[in-house]
Amino acid sequence: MTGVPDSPVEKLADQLFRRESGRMTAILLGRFGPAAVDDVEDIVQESLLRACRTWPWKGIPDNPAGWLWRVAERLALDRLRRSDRTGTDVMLSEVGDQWIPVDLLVADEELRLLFLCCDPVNGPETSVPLTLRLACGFSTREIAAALLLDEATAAQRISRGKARLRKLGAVEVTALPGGDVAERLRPVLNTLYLLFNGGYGGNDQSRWIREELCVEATRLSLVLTRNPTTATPEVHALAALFHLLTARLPARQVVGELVDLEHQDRGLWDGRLIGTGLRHLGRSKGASAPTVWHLLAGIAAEHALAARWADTDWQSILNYYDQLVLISDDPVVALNRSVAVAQVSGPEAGLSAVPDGAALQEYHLFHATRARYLRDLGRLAEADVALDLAIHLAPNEAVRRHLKRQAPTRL
Amino acid sequence: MGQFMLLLHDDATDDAELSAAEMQEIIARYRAWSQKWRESGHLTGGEKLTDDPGRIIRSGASGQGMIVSDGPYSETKDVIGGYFLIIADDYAAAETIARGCPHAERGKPIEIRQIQTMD
Repeated sequence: MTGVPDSPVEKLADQLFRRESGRMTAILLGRFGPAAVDDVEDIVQESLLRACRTWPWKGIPDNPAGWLWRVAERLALDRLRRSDRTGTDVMLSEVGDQWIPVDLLVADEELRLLFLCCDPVNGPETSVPLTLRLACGFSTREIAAALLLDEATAAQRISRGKARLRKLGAVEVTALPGGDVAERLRPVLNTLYLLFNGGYGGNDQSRWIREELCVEATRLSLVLTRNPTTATPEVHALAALFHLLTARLPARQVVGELVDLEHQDRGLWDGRLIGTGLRHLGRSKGASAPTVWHLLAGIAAEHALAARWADTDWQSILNYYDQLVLISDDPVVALNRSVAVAQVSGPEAGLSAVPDGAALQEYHLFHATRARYLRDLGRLAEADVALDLAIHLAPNEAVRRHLKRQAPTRL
Repeated sequence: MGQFMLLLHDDATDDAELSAAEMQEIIARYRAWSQKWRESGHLTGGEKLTDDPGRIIRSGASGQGMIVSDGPYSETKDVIGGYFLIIADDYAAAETIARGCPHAERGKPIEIRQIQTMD
């Protein structure tokens, strides 16, 4: 009865405060320069806080974003006047009076903020928390919880990122990234993918789905698709992937238990997100060569289009995986390919397609996947051993329970 | 049946560290609460007071006339942040309504006072 929507699609539509927090941060940073990041954060926080302290009495205004903006504008002007008087804050006093936000400007500034947060100089361990902070309005505590860091570490990474931001001259961010857009986009896309995977992965110790990360990564991918400069086929492919995977979240966790793709109730998949994902996939064509995102989105789309697990077009999926292993050296990709191989050519072929080597020895799904092929081949003793290893390596209780339900000889 | 005032004691600094999502959640909870009791006819009004300490006026020592100073809350962080007007059968019923208010659920005090009628 909280009035807070539950489904991912509603969350996408309803993250007003996170979205406006990111937008206001983006615009104000564009105006005042990255050096003013602390002032900007204060203004944004204060604007949201005033809404939080006023709306419960007055009701939610017709144009909530506009309301927030008017407050932010007033606070920023107050600060300007104060800094003019004391003369201590040159940076703010240099701003002219024409900074009132224009809708058209918002998209550019949001984009610029993303590029700032994901600047390659940061590296993912800083760019992910910094993006969550500045573009999504996450508190330090929320970032720590989402990224499974302790609060001190999260705080440290955020302040490190902000320190780098302050050093960036305003000049470097006055224009959208020029030159090779695909090249400049790469760290941004990688950051968003890490953000998404952090939520979707299911490989973490405590909570195994952190839906808010998936939702935020999806929202930010749309910031990229909406701007003509950055709406490259690759970006549409990433947006497609995010939508198609997020669509499955309602079926992936049922009363606290992990449900794998084969056993998910596909009726719970979110049809609107699938539709949006497929539209982005359509617009992802035209790349000179398919990227990792194209191929992963293609696989996700095959699953989305199959009404039942039994209807899955495994040959198409295998074709995607065959291309994927050529451009990705991720052993998990090779492991996932073996599933498609097994579906097309049987468990013997699947088992042979499992990548060997040390890289996956500590990965529970490596052993769980092998266990499954061994079971299907009737080699139950070996399957038991592999499954025990998988259970032993399981990163959390939900995954452990899920694996135990698959025990071949102990059902 | 009587009219009651819910005085919401508040410490604005409590909220300083809230995240964007938490603030949105709080607003959503208030909306659900106020909508419920407004539709039932129990919640009849309310206003938010500004977060400054306000003013207090009292008569000074003899010959000094009135003295105006900062409000009673200038020394503490606790202020009356706002009020709601409700209609309830008695204090117990008023308590029930106040108990579900997000303000109380967040651990902030609500003072309940009955409004004196003329009869």
